[in-house]
Amino acid sequence: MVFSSHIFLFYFLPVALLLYYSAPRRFRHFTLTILSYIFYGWTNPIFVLLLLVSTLIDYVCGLVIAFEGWRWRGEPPILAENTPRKSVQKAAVIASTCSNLSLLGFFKYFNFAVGNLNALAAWLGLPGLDVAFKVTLPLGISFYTFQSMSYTLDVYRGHARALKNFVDFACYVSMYSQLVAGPIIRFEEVADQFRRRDHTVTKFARGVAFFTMGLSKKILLANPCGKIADLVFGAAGAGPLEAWWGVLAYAFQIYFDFSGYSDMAIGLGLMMGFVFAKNFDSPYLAQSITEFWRRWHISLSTWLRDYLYIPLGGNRKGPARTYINLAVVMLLGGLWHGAAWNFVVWGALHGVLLAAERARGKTSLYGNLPPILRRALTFLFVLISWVFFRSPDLTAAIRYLGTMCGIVSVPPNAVMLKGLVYQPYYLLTMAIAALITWGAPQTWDWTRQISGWKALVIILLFVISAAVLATQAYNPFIYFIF
Amino acid sequence: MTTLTQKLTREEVAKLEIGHTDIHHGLATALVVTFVAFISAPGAFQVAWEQAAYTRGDRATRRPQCVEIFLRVRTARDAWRQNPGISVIRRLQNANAALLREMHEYEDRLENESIFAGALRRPAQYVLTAVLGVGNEKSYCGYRPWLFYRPDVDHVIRRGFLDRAQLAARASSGTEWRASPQPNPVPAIVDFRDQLAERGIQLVVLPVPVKPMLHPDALFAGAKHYPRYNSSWAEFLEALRSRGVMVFDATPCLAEHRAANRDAFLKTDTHWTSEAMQRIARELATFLRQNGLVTEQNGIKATERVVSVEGTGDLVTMLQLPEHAHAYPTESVKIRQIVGSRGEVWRPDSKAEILLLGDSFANIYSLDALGWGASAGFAEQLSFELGMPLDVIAINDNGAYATRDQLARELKRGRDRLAGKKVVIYEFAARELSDGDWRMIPLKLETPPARRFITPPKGQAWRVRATVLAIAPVPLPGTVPYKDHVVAVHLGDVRAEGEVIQGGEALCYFLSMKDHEWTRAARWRNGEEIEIILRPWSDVAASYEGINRSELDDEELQWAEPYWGELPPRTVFRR
Repeated sequence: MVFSSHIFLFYFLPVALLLYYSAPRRFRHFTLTILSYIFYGWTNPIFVLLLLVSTLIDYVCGLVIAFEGWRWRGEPPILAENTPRKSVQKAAVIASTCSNLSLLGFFKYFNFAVGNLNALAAWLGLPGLDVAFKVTLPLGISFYTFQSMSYTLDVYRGHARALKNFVDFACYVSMYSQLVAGPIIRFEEVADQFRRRDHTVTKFARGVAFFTMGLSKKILLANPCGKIADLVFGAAGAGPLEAWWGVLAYAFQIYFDFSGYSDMAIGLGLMMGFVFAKNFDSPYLAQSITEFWRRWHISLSTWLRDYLYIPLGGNRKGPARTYINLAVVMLLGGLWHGAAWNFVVWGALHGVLLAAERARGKTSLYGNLPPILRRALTFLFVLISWVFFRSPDLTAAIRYLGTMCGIVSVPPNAVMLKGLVYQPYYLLTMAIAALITWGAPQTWDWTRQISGWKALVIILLFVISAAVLATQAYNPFIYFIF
Repeated sequence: MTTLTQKLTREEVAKLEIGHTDIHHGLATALVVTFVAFISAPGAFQVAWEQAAYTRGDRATRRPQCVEIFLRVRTARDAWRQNPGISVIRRLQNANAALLREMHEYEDRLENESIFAGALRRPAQYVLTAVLGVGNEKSYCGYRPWLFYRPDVDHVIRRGFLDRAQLAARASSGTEWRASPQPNPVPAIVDFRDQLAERGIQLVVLPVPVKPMLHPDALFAGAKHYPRYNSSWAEFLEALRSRGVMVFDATPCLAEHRAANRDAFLKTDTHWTSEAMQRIARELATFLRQNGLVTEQNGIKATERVVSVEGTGDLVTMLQLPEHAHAYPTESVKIRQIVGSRGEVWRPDSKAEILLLGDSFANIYSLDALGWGASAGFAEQLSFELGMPLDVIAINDNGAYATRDQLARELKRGRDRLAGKKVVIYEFAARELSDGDWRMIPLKLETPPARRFITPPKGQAWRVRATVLAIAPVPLPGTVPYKDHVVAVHLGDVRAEGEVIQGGEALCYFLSMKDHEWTRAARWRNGEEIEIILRPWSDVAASYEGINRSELDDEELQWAEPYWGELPPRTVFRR
């Protein structure tokens, strides 16, 4: 089930809000958990079991870690940060980390590993592995394993108090607003909200504003841009101009798709009293790659920073190790997005540039240029790297880059693309997308003050989005597959 | 402030900022109430409308459609129980796949039958098409009034259909509830040829080019050169010809036709013009003679009659514009009807030496339901040009397998449709090469054993009551390039008054879509009790065989002699 679908908007959401607000306060998390499991199971019912198992493991591990010095009476204490942990606590955190990474590894990378082993075997002239099955990727596994893992790690580090109530923990892991495509909510950030939070009309109204802005970003901008990108990337070939147009459309698609989803998730959270942090901060305004990663998918970059980069040593072990750590984090970050070599290359490109910028004191390689040129060059780099992200494989990505540079021959049928991708509707959508990307305030800022005319705009946007949604069968969410 | 913000975590900043939403309490309340009303109204209206429909007798049940999902869970339970001998994991997977299929169908129906979505869809599409010049997922806008079918355009501009990566991607494009297609047309066609050759029958393959191949300049003025092929086309032809498969390539003939300043395709429809089709029929007849496939003209007593028909193309219908929008003009076409000496319409002859397997390119101008007249289709023209009768199996859409599948089913039921045949012409739209399911289909003539299926006397109609045991999938109106559709239904506990028929089973075909609207049959669910009129399929096959049909997968049903079902008014039982 996706947020921008008829069934979610007009059936699931009203029923969910009704059940949530009509439930007694102490049953609200239980209600929310059941609703979230239905939401998740709608995509593939069998994977509900996986979610439950993953949740159970981390819940038990969290309790084991907190058990020392507590013994079930009252609330579990927050462990002291700088005291040594006992072996049973270490074992619990290792068990949690390993089980999460194993789940992620198996479901996400098994097919990739088999494919690569077979390719290697074929290259060496050896027989390949005969695997009779293909592993299906459970929706949102990359998000909820990271989120669930952050719980045990936070409890272990003494950053948060363990949850005694299983329902509360299951609610944290499975909450439908951000279960399948983030933002990745770290436990320490929301732990207190699971114990107490306010439900106010103001909060709900802000949630409506967030949700509607996200919905319209998704339906009115991301989907049409996605159609352009699909046409160009799916074609046997394109002219250089269409290739640039296609990747620009993809840049808008992925931004409005994902930031729209994040807005909707934040909005839905607000409707239920939760406050989630900002996940996007106008990333295409960044003047360097370092800044881009402070603005793009912030919840992932902070997760990687706190749970991977810093444990690897961060910048405390000398410049060389810092660069290596950055490259490793970005490589793994790339692989987190998808089990394919093009994602690895995408991550590596960013990693190399991040390391280079770190060597220059966190300023870009073109830091002496005027800000507008720094933004343009950063966006250009991001645009080029998106080619690896969007292409079906590495060969296609390199070919596409060749087309952009005009060094690949253009097949005769490519000219027909012009009739499709430059239609007035697409030109208008791309112009609006550019205007909003570089000229309009963020949802966060725009909704800080809601006047009468803004409320009218919000309602109008909702109606237009619902009308356009009725005409669309094409409605993918890019980050669902990660 | 900046210093303070830097010290706070992202979550703390968020809480501070959300806490400072500047909105008047009354306005906040109004916004929340309006939003909740907007998201609740469609569901509430839908339920009210369904209750009214039930009161009018247009709905079989008082139960709201939105709660149907709870009934559909039974399908998963049945799938779980079906094969107790297999492993638990396998059973779980089967049940999961069955449930997923039901859930997807439920969601599709919920949206498709929504009064709210229906009311918004057409005006919104009108604005998108008439003002902003864009089509939808099915229909692309060229220079007005030209429209293009999306899979046709995809076939021309996308990667070659024999490209290794493309084949691999399509071969793994299935889901838990839908099998992947067999993407490579070459082995399927060669296998078909081999099976026919065993019976001494020659196969002639006729891939019909699609509109963007001949009219690319109607999509973009700069694309003047035509015809345009998919990049695998030459490889495909070479692969077939090198294996001895006879191919009639219609594209050069249509290109010549266009070069003479004549349209090869209708502007607002997926299909060829009548004139272009006649030309291909003439050229194919010459090709068959030149290759010694037809030795003598037995002669048919037929005459030609030119009439004008007006219609709106299937691509306009797929745009789903408001009914009275008139955004696209009707097209007028002169068709050449082939009629008998007494003016009777042309009919296929099951004893003919040539069998034509075709898709909607064979049905247009022949099947009245397509809206472009009758008795003037490709089979009629070819028969006239050859001066010979023709046998025909023509089913709209799914040209990659639908007609081969139909032929195989008839053979399995003991009807030897290939008896006396010397040539099979296999016509399909070229787009099928890129997106068709080229499954291998064995052609085996079998003798049907005595089954549990009912056998009412031929030439009669029987009013019966029955229970729906299974129903084949039905396409969503407006998403397919045809306006009518027939669905196969497995009926159980069939009984008629007077005990002529008592308690048997039947395979029955029903009209599930008429003029882009679902009939009641399309909405039936397993276990529903219905009252219908049954006729032997053979009595009505000539009228309905050409209409696109979805079959049930159950192997046993292939033995059953099918029936045609009709719905008498107000016959659905209420529980």
